[in-house]
Amino acid sequence: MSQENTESNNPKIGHDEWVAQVASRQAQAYPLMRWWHALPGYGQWLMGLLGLALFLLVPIITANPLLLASFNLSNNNFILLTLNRFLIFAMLAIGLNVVVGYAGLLDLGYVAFYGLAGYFYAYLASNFVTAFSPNGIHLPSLVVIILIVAGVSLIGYLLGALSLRLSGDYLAIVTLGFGQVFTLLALSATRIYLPGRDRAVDFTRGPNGINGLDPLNFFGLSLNENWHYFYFFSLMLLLIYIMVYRINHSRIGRAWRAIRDDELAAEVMGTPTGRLKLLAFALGAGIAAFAGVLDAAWQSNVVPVPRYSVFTLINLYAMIVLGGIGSLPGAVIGAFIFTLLPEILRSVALASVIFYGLSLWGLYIFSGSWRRFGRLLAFGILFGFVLKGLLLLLNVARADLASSSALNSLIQSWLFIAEPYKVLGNVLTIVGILLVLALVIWRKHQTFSDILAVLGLYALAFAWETRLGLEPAATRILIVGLSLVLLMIFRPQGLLGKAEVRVV
Amino acid sequence: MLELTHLNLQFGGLKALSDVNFKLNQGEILSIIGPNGAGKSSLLNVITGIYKPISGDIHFQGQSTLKLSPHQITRLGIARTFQNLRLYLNMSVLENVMTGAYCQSRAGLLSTALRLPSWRKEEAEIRAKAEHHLSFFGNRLQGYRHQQPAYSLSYANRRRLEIARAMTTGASLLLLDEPAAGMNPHESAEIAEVILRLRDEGYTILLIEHDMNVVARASDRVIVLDYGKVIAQGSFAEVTEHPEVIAAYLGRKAVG
Amino acid sequence: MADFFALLPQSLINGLTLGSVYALIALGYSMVYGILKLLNFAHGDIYMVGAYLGYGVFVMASVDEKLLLPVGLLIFLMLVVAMVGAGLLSLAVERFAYRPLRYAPRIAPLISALGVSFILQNLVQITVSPRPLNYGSNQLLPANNSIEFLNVKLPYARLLVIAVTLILLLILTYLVQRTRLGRAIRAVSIDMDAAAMMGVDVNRVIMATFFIGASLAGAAGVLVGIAFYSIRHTMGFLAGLKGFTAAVLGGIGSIPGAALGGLLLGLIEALASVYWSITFKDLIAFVLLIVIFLLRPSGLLGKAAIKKV
Repeated sequence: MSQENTESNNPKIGHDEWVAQVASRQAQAYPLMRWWHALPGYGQWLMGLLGLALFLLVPIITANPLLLASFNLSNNNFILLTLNRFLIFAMLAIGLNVVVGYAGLLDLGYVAFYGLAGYFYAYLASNFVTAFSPNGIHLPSLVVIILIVAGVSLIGYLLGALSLRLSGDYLAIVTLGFGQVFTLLALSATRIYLPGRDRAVDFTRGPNGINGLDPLNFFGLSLNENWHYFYFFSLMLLLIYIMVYRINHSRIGRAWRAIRDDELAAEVMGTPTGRLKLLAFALGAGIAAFAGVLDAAWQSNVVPVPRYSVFTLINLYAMIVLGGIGSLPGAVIGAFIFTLLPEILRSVALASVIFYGLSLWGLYIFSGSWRRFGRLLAFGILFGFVLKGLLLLLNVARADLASSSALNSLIQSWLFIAEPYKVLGNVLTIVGILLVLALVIWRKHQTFSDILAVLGLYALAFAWETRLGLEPAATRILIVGLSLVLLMIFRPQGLLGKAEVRVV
Repeated sequence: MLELTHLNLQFGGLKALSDVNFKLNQGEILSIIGPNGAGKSSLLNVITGIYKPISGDIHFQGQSTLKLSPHQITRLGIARTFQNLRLYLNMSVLENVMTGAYCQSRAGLLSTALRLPSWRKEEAEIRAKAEHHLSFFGNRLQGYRHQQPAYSLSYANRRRLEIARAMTTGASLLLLDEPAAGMNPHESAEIAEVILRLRDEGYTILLIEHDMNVVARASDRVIVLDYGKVIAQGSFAEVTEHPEVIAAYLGRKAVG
Repeated sequence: MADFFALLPQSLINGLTLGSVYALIALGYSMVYGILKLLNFAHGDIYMVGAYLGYGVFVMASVDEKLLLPVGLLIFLMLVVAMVGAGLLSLAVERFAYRPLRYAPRIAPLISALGVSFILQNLVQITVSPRPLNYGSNQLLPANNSIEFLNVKLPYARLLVIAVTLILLLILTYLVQRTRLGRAIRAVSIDMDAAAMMGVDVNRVIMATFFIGASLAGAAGVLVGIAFYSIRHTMGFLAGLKGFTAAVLGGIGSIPGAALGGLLLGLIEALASVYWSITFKDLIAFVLLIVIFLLRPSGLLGKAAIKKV
């Protein structure tokens, strides 16, 4: 280490410039961040390009029959499906990030634009609308995309114009109302009597949605395979990313962030706040509409629930919050984590590895040092065996449980799983969650929190082996919920966001 | 340059300004003083279009501003600072100043997304202008400070940053709302110098200030407000001799 | 026209029943918002847990389709358990998910609330059942047990909902208007910091507010189970949205507003589903929400805030 380097690492308290750089030093508290910031500019570019190239090679790499065989897969469709979904969600998250992250408008009706575009695509590119020709309307994709993105942006603009005089929470409520109206209409607008027609018209086919949408086609070339869509979506995401990045680093982006920080000051300093907020609304709606068209064409159908419901909205918010509100790479990373995580958690064996891995990682973070971590882990293991010995001596009845992997059977040999194990598992699930949260709150009390940690570890393992591991669908969402709460407590600015300062 | 005629402002039953008339000439530094609650800040809020008066008129360079929204008034050439500091705390110092140039620039979505030459030129101009206005305060807001978030600045520097932001809007009239509030005597003295230098740069200035040293040092003319009414105007020496002004500041009884 | 009048009394009763439930949920939303300016999206799930707690008591007190306790006592017990249980649960939620975020950016507690909502729903799904639970309409206040009043059938179950709601509203009004705690709640909702400096224990007041709001929602959960015979772990979501709409309708933060908004929403929904179309019943709530907001941004009984510069 050079002389200069050691000097810059020493605290220079009272030294203006050093104190002023506190934020950038805090950002480098994590090894990965430090590594990234230590790279020279071209190194970061190179790493980025390398990552991108690797990502683009995924369809080719995963098509390798040897690799597929080792994972007992017959083709890589599943991987491509997941990745395509990620790409769509990344576009949506970027659009939402424009509205929420840049302009600071809490828009809870965002999925409606995504859904509207889907239905419009169904009207313009399938057999569904037979009013003009018995075979439906089949416009070329380029025309449809332009029409729909323009149309939905306009709708976003108009809805924005209606509701923008409301601020903060009230805007959130009204947009939530708009979103609900859309979902409910999509579900129930199946028998609408139009003037001048005696038969009721079905607009949406209700909960089943509309099937048989045209694939995307450009100048006679149509996209039929998942990997076609993969490359097309990747390109589109890249374009949207660059576009939003550029807008954010211009007078428009600066004005949005100014409005988010202090709307009145922005207005008085010459920024037309109303027009800019509408622009954010319309741009967000346009990006959502674009993603909506691509998604509907790729999946070849539109389904109101859950795709266009609040569930997707919550998912999107979770993504941008995890990535860091207002951070463009954060939105993409958030989308990546939240699309991949649930898929990985589908496999019980893999989910177990992740669950115990996360638990140990959490324990390490909580301990703060390897010493304490080792001590707690040792105590935890000891506690398990002592309890087991005690209960064996008392002749408590044991439950016979099948274990699905080596890890599970290892853990089960440490636990004492007594009858009725289902009821106990239920109780310990709740206890385990409460213990985790209690640990977070009372982490400052050493001895007390040590005891909580040991008990928590045991309760979580028990709950996982008897209940959680066996209910993967519900557990997935449970874990997502818990991680949202913990994320907000520990890092409300998300992974890549900046901590915000507000005047109280 | 700025002319207020028979201006009345009311909140519910409360009269904040009643029949305020005055004229501000090009290149002048006009101070408005008065006890707390006299209507000084309300006056600025009316001029910048945040509050709408119930009667009277405001003309800026011959044009009435009553029907304009605040951002349009700024575009005409009136910019202000805030008594309780309203910076964009989470943006960098340079960005704070650059936002001021919004009303002076015109790049749209398309040219921004494509980074057309016209956009590049305009962006470079905005940046140069912002850097130029920051350099107005010597090395206080220079160098590494450009990239710092505004929340990390000291109180005095935040006041300076607000002035720089107002200058970047391209305004010819600056309304300064207590620029020396919360500063130590040394910094207040410096603010008085800054105000005089602003005038030398060609700005016309309307100053609201409680620090009488600053008012005495900087202003060409002083208007005294009390209970929303103009009770005296003239040079600093003249108004401080005015019996009504003494009464307003010290209480009626003191004068007898 | 004859049809119109024939259906009116019945739909009024339905509307009042539904409206009572919405009002009880809306109160919790409104009280918490009044104090913390927090949209507590987990509130609907607290109501759901209340419904399950009440059902738990019911199951324990019934053996082979027969009740071990008199119906009145059983219902009282269900209400008490659900109210206390929901109240305690909301204290835990407040302590773990909201209090650490009291000075975080506005969106943080909102996301945390969504997380809590996920946790509660899926915990119930895992530990109880993913399927709806049925009271079995013959055991507790059957549907055809009713009194006739001026040729209108008034089922006991519906009357019970309305009566319990009325009683709870009276207790709440007394609590807020006449007690020390109520005064503290009102003070904190106007200015939390000032109240703290005047010696009000803000944390205690916030906890009390959460407890009261959640116990009202818990009661609503039990009442819904009794009146409509079936509960489900996902029932909190839509009910939460409706309660929230009701709170907004009456002016969020206002207690009489929340009660009024709930009743109004219930009545409108009931009338609309009879006279217009039952499929669009839910739609009406949200269209109403939008229209009210655009016409009167601070709600029916809300006060417009003053802008400070």
